[in-house]
Amino acid sequence: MIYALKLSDSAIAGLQSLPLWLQDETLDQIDTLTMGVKRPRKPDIRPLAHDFTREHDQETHYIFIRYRISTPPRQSTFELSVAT
Amino acid sequence: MVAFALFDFVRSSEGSLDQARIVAAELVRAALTDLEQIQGLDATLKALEKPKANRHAAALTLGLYEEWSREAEGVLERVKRLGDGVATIDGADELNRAHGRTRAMLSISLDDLIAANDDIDADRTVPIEEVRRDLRLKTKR
Repeated sequence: MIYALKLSDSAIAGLQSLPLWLQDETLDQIDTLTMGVKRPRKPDIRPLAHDFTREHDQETHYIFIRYRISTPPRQSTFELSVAT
Repeated sequence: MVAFALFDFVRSSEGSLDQARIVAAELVRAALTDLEQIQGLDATLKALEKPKANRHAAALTLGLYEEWSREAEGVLERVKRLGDGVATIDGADELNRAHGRTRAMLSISLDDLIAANDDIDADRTVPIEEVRRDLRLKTKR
């Protein structure tokens, strides 16, 4: 199942607060999130969540992603938060 | 957390570093168990799917996470006070990561989430390809 992945304005703001190398990795994580996810049978507005951490220059970055998978037009939207 | 006073008492006694480490490990274990219970409750509430109660239940649940985060911070502070970093106390690394993840989660407020949902419903969103293209341009500069 291929989804159209879209980011909300606040997700973009969260993304832009990250260093560039981590923005790239975060987008990769988002890309892989919906792989293998079946399309919900009915509209589902409950957000799902995923988090990951990256260590760089003795600093730990915690990335928390909320996302929602919609029925047609088969899109998944993301909300992102960051703590360092 | 009531046990903080116990840790502080044990820590202040001379020559009791080993005892303080044992108490710290118990505090760490208790904090991780508390988090598991909150997550279990959170999952149960989400599964109930009562839309009218959603906002109130979500606010209460976020409150639980916030309270837990403050207490976990207290535990981690005490672990760090032992001087050898968090790695020397069983489970402290795990607690440190769980605390970071929870803080990241809490940095999205309930109002932000509702606003984001409104944006999504109104299709005020940007396709990921576009976001990636912008990022590539910035990286090239």
